[in-house]
Amino acid sequence: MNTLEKSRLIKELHDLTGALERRSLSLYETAKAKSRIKSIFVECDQPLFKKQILAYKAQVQPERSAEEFARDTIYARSFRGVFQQVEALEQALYAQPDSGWAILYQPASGWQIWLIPAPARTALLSDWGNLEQVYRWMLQQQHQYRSLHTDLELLNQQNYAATQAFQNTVTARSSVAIEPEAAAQQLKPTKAAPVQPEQQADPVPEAESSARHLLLNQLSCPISELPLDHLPAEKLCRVFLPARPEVMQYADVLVHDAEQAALLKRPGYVAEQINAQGRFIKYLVLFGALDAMQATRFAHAFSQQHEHEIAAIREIDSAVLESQLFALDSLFQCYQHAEQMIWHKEDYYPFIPLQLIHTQKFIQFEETAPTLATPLILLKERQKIRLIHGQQRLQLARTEQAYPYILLDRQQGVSWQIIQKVLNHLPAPVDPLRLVQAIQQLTAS
Amino acid sequence: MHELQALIQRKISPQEINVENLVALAEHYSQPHSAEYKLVELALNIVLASYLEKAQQLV
Repeated sequence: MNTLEKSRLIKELHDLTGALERRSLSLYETAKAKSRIKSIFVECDQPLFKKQILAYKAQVQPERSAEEFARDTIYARSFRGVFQQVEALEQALYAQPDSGWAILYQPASGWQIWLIPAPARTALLSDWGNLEQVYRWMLQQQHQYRSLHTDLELLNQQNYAATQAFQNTVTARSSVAIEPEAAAQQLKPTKAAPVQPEQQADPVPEAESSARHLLLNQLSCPISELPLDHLPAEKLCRVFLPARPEVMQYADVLVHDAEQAALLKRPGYVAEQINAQGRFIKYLVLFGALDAMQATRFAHAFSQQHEHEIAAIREIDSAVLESQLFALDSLFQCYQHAEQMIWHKEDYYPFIPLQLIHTQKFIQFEETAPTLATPLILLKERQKIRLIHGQQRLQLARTEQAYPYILLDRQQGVSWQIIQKVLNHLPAPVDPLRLVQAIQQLTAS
Repeated sequence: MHELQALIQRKISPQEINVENLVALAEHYSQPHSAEYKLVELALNIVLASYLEKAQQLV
């Protein structure tokens, strides 16, 4: 919609709402005006007016809008439905007592989310509010309890279970092997002691186990072969972390050629996966690739298969990666400090997890309208990362776990005084890249 | 355009903007890459969002 079309819609809404407020219309004209307003809401159904559209839909079709809202989240498969009666909700929610969430709607109060925080536990209840408010509450609870699996994780678990069932039926003929933990530990490379050549690693008898495992940070992780549509001849496996399921919320972990001895001698690789709109999906962690070229091929083939794209790939020491993989913060730090960027897309900005940002804006000013590709502008001072520009960008989507960013550093001479000085000379609304450019020019001079 | 600047700086509310003037500005500044177009667009987004909120109360 261009500006002229928008301005005409505003004029029309101005006239229609004015007439409805004055009650100057006949019954027929009133119905016609309301009908036209409804069609304008359909015309304006775009991310920019998401808040208004959601409020409108919630008013005219409350249950359906809540259903659509829930189905649009990353936890849709754990969603048990929208209910107006507590009894019906409880029945549906506790039918699967391990995990799940549901929405209760009452016209006078609004919406309330019920969330099972742990298997067989009574559900936690949010306050009453609008859909965005109660969903935000649920994300906060999820951050603490990690009770829900994302749809992608559930899908992967199903695939894994199917693979396991298939493997169990052909155990006698399978040629799988297990790496015992002790042997694997001895083979861990250290900086002081050179690693042994790959061919000296003792093969482990196949009969020891019917399942294949990989040892990561002393955790035995089952792996399952992952056929790649574009690289059918390559042997790539997904690594499952049943002891640390939260990792799968922020990273797909893959391994090429699951010889424990070999893979830790090779560098690890971490890629940022995004969707077609440029929104961060997950990290991709890859062990065992022979070189950067192969890692790049694997990363692209894997992400394409899931209809995602790769934003960038970095090479990281696999022993470091193995130890830092188990928390989003530490994986991000590890990725951020990796010097070896081996590939990135055009117009690339790295992504930072939301939980690392202090999102309260210190200096208030008008920002240009953002897109999903617009980076946050952040200032690092001491141990904190604070938001300079990006208040609107943060509000653009509901469920992003990481955002593109440009980080300025207090240690490089950027202070709040300098930022304020630059802002005083920039026309409003302020474009993030112009702001960064102006700050850098001032600090360089 | 001063009115739009004031709107963006939250010095006046969206409902105080003259809508006839908005249409005239949108007609006048029609080059999508110009700074004026972007300013008008930002202001229109604010005003349209406000009218949608108002309309929602009346349907």
